[in-house]
Amino acid sequence: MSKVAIKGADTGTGIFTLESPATNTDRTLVLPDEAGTVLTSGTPTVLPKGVPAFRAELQTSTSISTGTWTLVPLSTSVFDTSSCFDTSTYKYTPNVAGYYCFIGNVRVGAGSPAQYYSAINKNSTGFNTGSVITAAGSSVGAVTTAPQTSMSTIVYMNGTTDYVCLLGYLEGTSPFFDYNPIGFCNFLSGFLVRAT
Amino acid sequence: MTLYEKIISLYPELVGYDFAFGGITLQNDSDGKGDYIAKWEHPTLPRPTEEQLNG
Repeated sequence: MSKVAIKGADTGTGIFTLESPATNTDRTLVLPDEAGTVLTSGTPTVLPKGVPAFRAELQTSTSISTGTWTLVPLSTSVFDTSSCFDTSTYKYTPNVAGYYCFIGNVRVGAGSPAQYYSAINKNSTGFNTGSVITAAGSSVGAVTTAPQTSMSTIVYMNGTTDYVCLLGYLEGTSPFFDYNPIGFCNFLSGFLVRAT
Repeated sequence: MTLYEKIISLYPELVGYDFAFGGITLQNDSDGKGDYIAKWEHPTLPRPTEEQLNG
């Protein structure tokens, strides 16, 4: 049988008291089998280790076709705590079920740009044929030469097959996903808000 | 010539068509296979064949 020891500090004069509520029910509090400091309701918020989080980027300008919804080829994983972002398919498939916050940014460029749109999709690589989580963009007459839109959303992921990806669409001459190392880039990032 | 340009060449009446949200959707999955027709739902124009697109 393991043992339980209660040890006071070597210095100090305060008295720590373990106190039960007024109850007629027997209860057992099980301590975790690891070293560390037990948190209380007064402890500042501390997120546990192991919460999935990632950020993937497209770190080079990449040509696309006009009038075509295109999966943004996020080929660089900046960080990925659970190794769930695939830099060859450009999809994030988390391995923990729960509600996730995703943030995406699409920046494109073209000559004479017309319509511009972007989206974060779930379980489909096609905007008009898939499951759109959130979308943004500008229609004809409201597009600058290098439109950029950020999107964010919270969505449930089943932790096995559900995935998300980033899409972009632009009508114009020689359109491309734009990259500038000063901070303009296409990226998708996310983290687990609440496990289920 | 891109798929979009081939379709416009075949059907000039599609200039100005809403390819973003209309019944015709072109897609590229960035998998090296290029652009493709993901959806073709047009009231009068038939879906072009591979022969027409590559002709």
